Amino acid sequence: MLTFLILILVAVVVSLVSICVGRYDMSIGDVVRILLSKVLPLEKTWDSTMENVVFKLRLPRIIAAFMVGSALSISGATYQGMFKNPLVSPDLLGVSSGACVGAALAILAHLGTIGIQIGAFLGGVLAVSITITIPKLMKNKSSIMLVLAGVIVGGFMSSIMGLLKYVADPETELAEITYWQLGSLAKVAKGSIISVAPAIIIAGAILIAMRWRLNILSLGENEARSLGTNVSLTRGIAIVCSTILTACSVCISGTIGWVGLVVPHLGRMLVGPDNTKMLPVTLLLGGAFLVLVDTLARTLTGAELPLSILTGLIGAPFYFWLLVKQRVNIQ
Amino acid sequence: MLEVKNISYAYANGRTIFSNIEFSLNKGEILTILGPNGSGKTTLLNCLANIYLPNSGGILINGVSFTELKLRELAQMIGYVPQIHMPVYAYNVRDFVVMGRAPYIGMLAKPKKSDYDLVDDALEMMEITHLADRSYTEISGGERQLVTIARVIVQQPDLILLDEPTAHLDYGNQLRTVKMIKRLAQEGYAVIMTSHMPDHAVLLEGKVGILDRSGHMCVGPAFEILQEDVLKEVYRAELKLVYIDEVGRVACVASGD
Repeated sequence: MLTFLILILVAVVVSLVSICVGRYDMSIGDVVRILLSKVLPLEKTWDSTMENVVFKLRLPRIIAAFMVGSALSISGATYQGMFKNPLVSPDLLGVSSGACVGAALAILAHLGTIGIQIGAFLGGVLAVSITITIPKLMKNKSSIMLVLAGVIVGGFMSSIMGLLKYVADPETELAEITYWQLGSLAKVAKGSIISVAPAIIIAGAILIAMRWRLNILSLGENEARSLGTNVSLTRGIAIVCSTILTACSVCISGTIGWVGLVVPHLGRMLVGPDNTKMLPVTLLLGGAFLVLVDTLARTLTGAELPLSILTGLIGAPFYFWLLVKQRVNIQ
Repeated sequence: MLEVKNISYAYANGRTIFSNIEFSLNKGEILTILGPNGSGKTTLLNCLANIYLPNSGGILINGVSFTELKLRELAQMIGYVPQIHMPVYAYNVRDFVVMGRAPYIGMLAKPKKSDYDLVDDALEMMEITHLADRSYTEISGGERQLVTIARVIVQQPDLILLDEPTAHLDYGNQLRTVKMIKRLAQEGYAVIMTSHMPDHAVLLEGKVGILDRSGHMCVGPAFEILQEDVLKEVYRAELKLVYIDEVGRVACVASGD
């Protein structure tokens, strides 16, 4: 409980600092006053530019970063529990590679930002649907068959992606595809946040509500069944929710690596593997982490850095440190 | 309480594992299933746990067929203790044991204080309260066995199934496990376990079923079923059943050549 409160505080502080810094620097006092002016009758001591920067630029972006970071982290944590493997990420069943294909097709067809978002979402959902169908065709319900199906679909989507990049115009389309694949929140608009927020909140709330069941699933299929759990149904709900979370995130930010893999480990290190504690903590950690990374992405250099570059540069060494620290028994 | 009616099981490739198995078990009774490696003891136990479905025949618990029960209802009547294993995640013992409450807790709910109270009672009964906050992956195999039995106790079933509960344990822990199983039967649970040790069946004094290489099983009281010629045939080894004065019982021993 204490950890949870501290993390809420950390998330708030990181977000406030993030609002202050950028090409247009503001003092934390001004920012707090501007934010409070929406609920309290405060005298206006700041100019309208500042208010615009806060409400039109930075706040939406921070909300988006928090949402995407939390969504990727809890879907990663869900997959890790469900597949009894702390080394899997939300991409396991092909959602990201499918989203890339969808987004690339939209870019090649010049469908615009909204087109790319819809393309990415549909691509991600379609890829996972194919993955789920394969074990059904094989009449084999084991989770290892599902993982293998994910490998097949992921590999197939990567090849299609290669083909699309090969035919793309290197000056414009290829550059856009590559940039999209590296992930960025630079272009995120209020409208797109509002359109994905309900899905993210509902899917996230369902996963949080069923988080104790994830403990049961992590015991393995036979044991979960002998404890009265309908494994196919429970796993199905968890996969649908995780897929929605990842697909919605990817559609507003492009693909962002490492978050879904590393953040759950950090959560487990802080409060242990029990999902009833771990999942809420992971949600806060993931949100705060991506707000931090996105702030670095827009402040480190004059140009915007793609997010996956930073999450990789931070995430990989951090993951190594976690493995050393936890002395994880991975056979 | 448990009625197994003429069940058979075959793999998808047609190989029959066992056929025409029939027996019943009441509250407080113990059934030890013996048989050579690969004879299908675990498969049979998995059928009783509703993890595998028999190809023919039926199983009734408290007069109701498995096929008419929901997984949740069945899990409230039958508890399963798998072989000692290492889960991927280092849950602490209390969090692990409370998972036995799963059949009573809704999909979107988590255990309440009353569930944790049952956990504490079970840990006390098993005399492992000191392990409560330890990590399940850090404790010894014998302790993990006790913790898993505590989990099946909070599940409050009528029938407890144990898959080779004495495997991977040292001699002392094997004997303590046998005693624990006797105690479970005295508390009123019906118990079915698989074992590689005919001597454990002697110690348990309950019913014995020997699953032979042809997939048939005869069930009866230990003293009737455990015969020298049967054991010799099943294990293809020179075994003797000898009465040993010093311990006051019949023991199953090998002759040494």
